[in-house]
Amino acid sequence: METGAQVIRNAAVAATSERSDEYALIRAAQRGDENAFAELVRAYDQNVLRMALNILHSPEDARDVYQEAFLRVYRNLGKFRFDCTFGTWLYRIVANLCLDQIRRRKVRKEETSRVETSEGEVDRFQFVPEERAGVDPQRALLSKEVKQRIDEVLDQLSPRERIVFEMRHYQGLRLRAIGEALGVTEEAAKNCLFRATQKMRTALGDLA
Amino acid sequence: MSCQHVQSNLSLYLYGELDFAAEELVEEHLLSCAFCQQALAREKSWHATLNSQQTSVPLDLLAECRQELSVQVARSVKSPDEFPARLRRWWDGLYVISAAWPARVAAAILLMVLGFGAGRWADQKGFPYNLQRFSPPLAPHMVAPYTRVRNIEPGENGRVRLVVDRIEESQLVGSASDDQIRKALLSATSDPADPALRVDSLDYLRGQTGDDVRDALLTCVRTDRNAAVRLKALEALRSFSNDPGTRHTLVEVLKHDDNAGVRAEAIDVLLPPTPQFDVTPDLLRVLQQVSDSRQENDYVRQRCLQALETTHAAAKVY
Repeated sequence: METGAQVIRNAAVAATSERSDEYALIRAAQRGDENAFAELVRAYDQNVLRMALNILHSPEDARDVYQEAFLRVYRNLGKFRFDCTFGTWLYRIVANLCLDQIRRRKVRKEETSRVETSEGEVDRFQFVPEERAGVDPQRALLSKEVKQRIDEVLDQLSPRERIVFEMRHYQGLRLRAIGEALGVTEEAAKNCLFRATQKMRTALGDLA
Repeated sequence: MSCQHVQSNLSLYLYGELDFAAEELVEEHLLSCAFCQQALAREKSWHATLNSQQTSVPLDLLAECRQELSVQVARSVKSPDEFPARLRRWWDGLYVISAAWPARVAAAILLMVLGFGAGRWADQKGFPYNLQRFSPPLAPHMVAPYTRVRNIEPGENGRVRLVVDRIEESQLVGSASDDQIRKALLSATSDPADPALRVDSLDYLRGQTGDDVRDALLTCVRTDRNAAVRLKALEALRSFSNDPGTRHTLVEVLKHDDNAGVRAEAIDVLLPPTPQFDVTPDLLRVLQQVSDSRQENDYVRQRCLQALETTHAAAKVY
């Protein structure tokens, strides 16, 4: 049976090995190895797409953010000097692109995800195919209502609060990394998360 | 620490983002306060609700994004060391020296003055190198992109003798099906240096018939190391999808290609929406094996299952 120290040591070894694998991949991609770049993309792209979908609530906009983020990584990978982790650098790009997209929407005065149809106003997001099949319809309806409420509350957060909340709650990034990604101090990121969770708690407390 | 203070920090506590001292105080308070324990349970509960509503990434959207990215990346690989890129890097270097715009303007004027001065000096004295060999004469920085040093030999009196290939640029304009252009396009499909050129040439060959086109496409599908090029070649192979040799290669791609997007495209070409295709037992067996493989990408498995449904075949290997 493993002792506590062994568990910690094994975890540390695994983390170091993961970091060195990523380092080797980045180095290879910087030398022009397309397979290494593809590997890096595959390691992060689901999280990037999920983050963009959660923040923007639009598959089209999320797809644009995905393309632009990884193209920027591709074009600027040669300049990446390991001053921060690759993930932090990538999330910085994604966060800035999401903020730009939200600002552009404000200029266009566009509703984030609502579209008019013959059946009234609906959320474009519901057109995204549901992967889980065979769900109880009543439960699915309840779940849809809860999701709608969560989306409404998230829409009420400021863009920065929404991004910080997304990065901490769903992506599991530490506040220090979020601060680095957004170019603010850890304390500022913490305050932002504090405000976001206060608003969420007030609006969603009764769901508990 | 008051109840209000503890409760407002419960989220940060759950995220593990309180500093050590604050976390100790919260835990100490929670031990003795049933009211705050209830608040913590509620906090955990709405966190769990948020987690349960997390958006799952639609796999078809992810596959489209990956495919689009690989094509975009292939297009942007336009010889990173070409002259404009080097010039841009050099110019960017000036930005590092001074970020202030007046200094940049001054630097630009200085460069212009130097350029004119050098031009006048060259007019009067001639260039120090024997550039007249390159006719018409090129400015020094233009020599490199148009030439390639093939051999270097020692010359007399400590001099050096270079054998230089000069690349002549010319243009062919016409329809993609014109014989000369078609041959050039076929040759470009195997250009070793530029995947974007290979993608573009395949784009123009799409829809053309002939064994030479089919063979070039099959070679790309089998041997090109760039997935975007293989994808483009597969798209172009749709018009040959009834050809037995092509189908054999596509089955091999489905079995062995290391890129999931390419394997998915191979299924699309093998089994087009209008079912005028030959479903051989071999193809059915491969589809069943791939759909049953736990190592296979979810999207590819899903496509295989759909294809099997279309052909009304069993989804399992018996």
